[in-house]
Amino acid sequence: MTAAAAPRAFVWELTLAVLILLAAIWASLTSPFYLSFDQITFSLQQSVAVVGLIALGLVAVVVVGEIDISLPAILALGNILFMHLAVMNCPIWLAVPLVLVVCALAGLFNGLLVVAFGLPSLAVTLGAMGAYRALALLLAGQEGFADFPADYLWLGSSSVADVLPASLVLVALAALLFGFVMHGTVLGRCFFACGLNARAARLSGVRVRLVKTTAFTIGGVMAGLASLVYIGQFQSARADNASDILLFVVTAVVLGGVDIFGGRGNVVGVLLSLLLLGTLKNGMGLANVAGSVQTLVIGTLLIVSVLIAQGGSWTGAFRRLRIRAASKP
Amino acid sequence: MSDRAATPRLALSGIVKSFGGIHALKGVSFDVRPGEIHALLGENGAGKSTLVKIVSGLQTADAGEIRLDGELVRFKTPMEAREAGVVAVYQDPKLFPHLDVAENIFMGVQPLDRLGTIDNRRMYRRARALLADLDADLDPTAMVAGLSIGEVQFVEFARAMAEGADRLLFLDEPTAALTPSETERLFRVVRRLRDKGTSIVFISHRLEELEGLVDTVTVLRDGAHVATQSAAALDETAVVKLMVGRSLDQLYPGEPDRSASGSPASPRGPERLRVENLGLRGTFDGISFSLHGGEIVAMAGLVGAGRSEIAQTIFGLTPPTTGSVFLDGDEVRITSPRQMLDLGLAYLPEDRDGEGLIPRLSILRNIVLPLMGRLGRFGVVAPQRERAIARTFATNLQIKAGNLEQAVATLSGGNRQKVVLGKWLAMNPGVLILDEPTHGIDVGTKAQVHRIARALAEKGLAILLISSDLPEVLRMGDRVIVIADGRMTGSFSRAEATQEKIMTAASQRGRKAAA
Amino acid sequence: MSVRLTAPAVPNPSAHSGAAQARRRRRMRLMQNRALGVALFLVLLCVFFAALNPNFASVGNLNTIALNAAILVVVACAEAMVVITRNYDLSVGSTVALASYVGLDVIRICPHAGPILILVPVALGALCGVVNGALVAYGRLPSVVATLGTMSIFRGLAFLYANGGQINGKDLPAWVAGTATSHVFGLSVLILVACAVVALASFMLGKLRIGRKIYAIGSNPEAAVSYGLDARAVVFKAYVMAGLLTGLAAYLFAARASWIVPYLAQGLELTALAAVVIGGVSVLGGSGTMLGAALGALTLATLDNGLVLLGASEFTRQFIQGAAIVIAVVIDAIVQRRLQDLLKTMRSRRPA
Repeated sequence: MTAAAAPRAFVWELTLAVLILLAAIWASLTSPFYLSFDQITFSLQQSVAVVGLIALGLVAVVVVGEIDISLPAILALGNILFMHLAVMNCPIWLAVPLVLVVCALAGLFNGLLVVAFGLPSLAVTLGAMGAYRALALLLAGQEGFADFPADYLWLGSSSVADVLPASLVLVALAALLFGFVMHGTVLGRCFFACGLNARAARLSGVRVRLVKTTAFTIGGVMAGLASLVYIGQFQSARADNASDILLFVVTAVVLGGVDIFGGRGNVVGVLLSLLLLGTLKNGMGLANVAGSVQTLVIGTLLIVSVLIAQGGSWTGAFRRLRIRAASKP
Repeated sequence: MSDRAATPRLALSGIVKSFGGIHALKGVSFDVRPGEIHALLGENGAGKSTLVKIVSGLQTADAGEIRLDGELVRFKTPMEAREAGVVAVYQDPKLFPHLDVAENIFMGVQPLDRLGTIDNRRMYRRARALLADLDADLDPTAMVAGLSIGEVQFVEFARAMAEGADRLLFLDEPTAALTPSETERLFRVVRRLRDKGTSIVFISHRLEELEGLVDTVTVLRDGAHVATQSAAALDETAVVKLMVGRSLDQLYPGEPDRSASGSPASPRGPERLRVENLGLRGTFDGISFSLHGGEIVAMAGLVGAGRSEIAQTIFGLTPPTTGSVFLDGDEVRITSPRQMLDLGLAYLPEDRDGEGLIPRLSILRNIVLPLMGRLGRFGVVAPQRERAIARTFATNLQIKAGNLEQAVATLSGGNRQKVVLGKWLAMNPGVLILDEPTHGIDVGTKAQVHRIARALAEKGLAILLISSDLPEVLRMGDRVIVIADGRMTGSFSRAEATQEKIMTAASQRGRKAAA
Repeated sequence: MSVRLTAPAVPNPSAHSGAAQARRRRRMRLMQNRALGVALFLVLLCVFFAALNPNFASVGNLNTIALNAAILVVVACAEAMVVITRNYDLSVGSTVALASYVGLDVIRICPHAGPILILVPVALGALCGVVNGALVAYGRLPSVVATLGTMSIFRGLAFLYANGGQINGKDLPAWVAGTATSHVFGLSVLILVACAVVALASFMLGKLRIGRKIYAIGSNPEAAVSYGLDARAVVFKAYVMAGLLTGLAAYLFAARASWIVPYLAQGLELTALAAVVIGGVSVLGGSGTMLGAALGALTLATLDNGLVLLGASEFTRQFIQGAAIVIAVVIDAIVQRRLQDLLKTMRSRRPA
């Protein structure tokens, strides 16, 4: 955003692009099945469509300087609502706005708690995560549900023009919209201002509380949208859906160059990091790497990327580690 | 100077420190003798505080040598310095609000018993003794969160006395928040310490408050050492000359000193702002004044008297608990800064970098931040119009920068202040509150800020100028109101206002509460 | 040149006197000491459950509650130590899984070395704490992100090490299971260990310099800098001590379990944080006690037990746990605000 920062942000994105390329080469060397358009799009759809939508929502929250770890739980809540609406034979055009509104309210509730009491968002959304997840369990009952009508499943399971998965198109459209909102509107500017210095922003007439609550609400809406994709992809709704994607989502956001302390980040970086994570996951899947190891790899990526972001650059990170090692008694 | 053969307590040679290309200290060298009270004088930004931080281990010098009693030292942390008998009380002290007074005094150096655990009995006994020594009526078990700013200062002093400070004690502007009697108590303690052999370095803006106290004076200007002389050989005018590098009448170029004439500078317009019986629980109450177009009202008081809080309440940051505010005759139910900005009231905060600006954003973005909603349509920003407006104000205010995309963090203090001013002028407000607008900026920019304020008043703006700088108050204010301990203790016309009257009113701490 | 205001002498008002003042201060102390409030809530909760279900107040049931709470008390103390420094530890569950699986596997392999091997899981826990502490304190990562990462890493390592296997409690030396079942002076060892941990941790936080520094860092990190406290070392040590306690909890977990699997203690971080915030440890750092955290754990265990007796589903209990965190955090914020108001009014009403 500033003159000094521009080249560095560019370097970050370029690095991501190179890493994607390397990951793709590695994947194609590991498995002969990797290099096919259908394989790649299918795998990406499976691994990044849901995560991508939630990650975009989380970008808004993180840019204003907060965090919402209850988004996967809101997704599960959305799934269960879709299930009940499907059972009630509610038409899809009515079901979608209904679910989105409920998910938006869930996000809004988080935001209101954070803003009204000045609470740390991690503590609030940690509690909310438990509460939403359990609410979904209460609503769902013991057994899952796998009998959705076709129009509920379309978004998560069909392709546009028989080529591109509809969910990936949705992610791309959402990213475009996000890019515009974050960088081309008053609201987006306010997001960044709040994240950089909330007090100064407030003294400059930015309605900080409103802006932060809006970011949380956007997060909720995106989780609701992700739940529509989710039920299409997995054709099932259970209250414990997506209970393990938080790490993936946070990694996508942080690896995408969004400053975890707020105020900096862009959508392009997040898209690239999604692509990188998706490619890695695809490759690891093809190479039969165990799920727990995949999680381990992503966890390591998360820590390494924040370490680098904190250090400013690769060399910076190493230099700082050296200095620290030297100054440690 | 070298009439005493003893090794100096502190010998500095060639201390250099720069922050991001700006030289805060350009090779400073001077000595402090054992058992003397040494005044370190200089304007804001002369490098005094940086020097203290370097010697006491809070920052490290880029180059140069520090010798303590002849021994080369380089403290990496304040704790190390303390172990060597060097302690500093910084400006704007920070304590631990959740802990009590005694714990704050002894944090990190608590007295231990034989088993290595904290000896609470001894700690509280010693805390009580230390506070009694300082004549501070403070309970060692009181929680620090509830102390007044003056009391916090005394906890800091007690902390400095508690351990260490037997060789060198730095006091960085310790009196700004103190009443005269408190200042006198502090001086007594300082003299006692000197008689015990400790060297004390007293950092200040001016000499006369230290009259009869200091033995030696060192003056810094723009990060360089100007002079070190015996205090007896100097008078105020000489010191000022050394500090500023030119005489006083050159200080405010092109601005006649009207403080004697008593006539308002610009025609008094209609009433823009009226505040009636304004109060915020626990902070201030009973504040009433009015502000007319075309006039500058100065608000004076000690640091911590509650002036910023009053301004921030009027600006909507913390809505008041009692009283009412009228803008252009209409009562306003204050809710937020946004609302007040839209009604034409702007507030320039004292903490320029923490509250006035977003340093990581560009000049352009900072200037248009409050305005972009009005410039754009349907919530979409209008880059062309934003740029045009920002350019206009950057040019008018002579902001020195490569281009408008430059991050504000890279500008000098004066230019940053101009960016904040530009931001508010672009909003075209009717009432402008300036909170210490010249604090910490160079003399040239200071005069420019004064000229801008006067010009704005002449255009019909109503300006409230909060300042702790007495000449500024007397020079700029068409009227002066004085705040002490959250209450109004004086209101003077330009003709009535004198330094003495303002001072007396400003130090009526807690008196109104009893009445 | 700036001239600061100075003025002729004015008598300084003396502070703190009068009965009203004393009363207000007593009220303040009460609010500061939130453990008392938690204890009160716990008693009310017990009375409530006892009234609804006569079985609740039986000695056997109360003993069960205490046993269930014991391990959580240890974990809550660990979490509280970190929270007081204004950080979080989301990896406690994974630390328990890694330390218990690897540690107990070592015990299984060398059964003759005896109970000294309890130190293995404890040391492993401490090692996890070292990693967390290094990342947060020296790597300056936000604790949420760092421990979210290590949460997956520790768990992943446990799975890698287990390689699909699991440890049967029967293959372990008898003293392991004995830890959970034996009694000293009629009290379960688990309960005794929990009490010892609370006592030791309270002692450390209250009477040692490092303990007071932990509060200081959480109370005002900026002040810590000007005091010359090494904030990084303090935060690091807090994480290591938390890891140590978590390692101990891992051993106790394993001793109670009949099968040790790498997915042990999933979601424990949520329960631990719930216990901590319910126990009145401020999520804003700087205040809270070990006793409070322990009472928070006991409250959670009581709530769980009582709800089971009332026939509530597991989901209801989970919901209540999540909601309890939110409510406790909100109460914390309100109390802090009231405290500040009270302090302010004390100042402004000070007589001259």
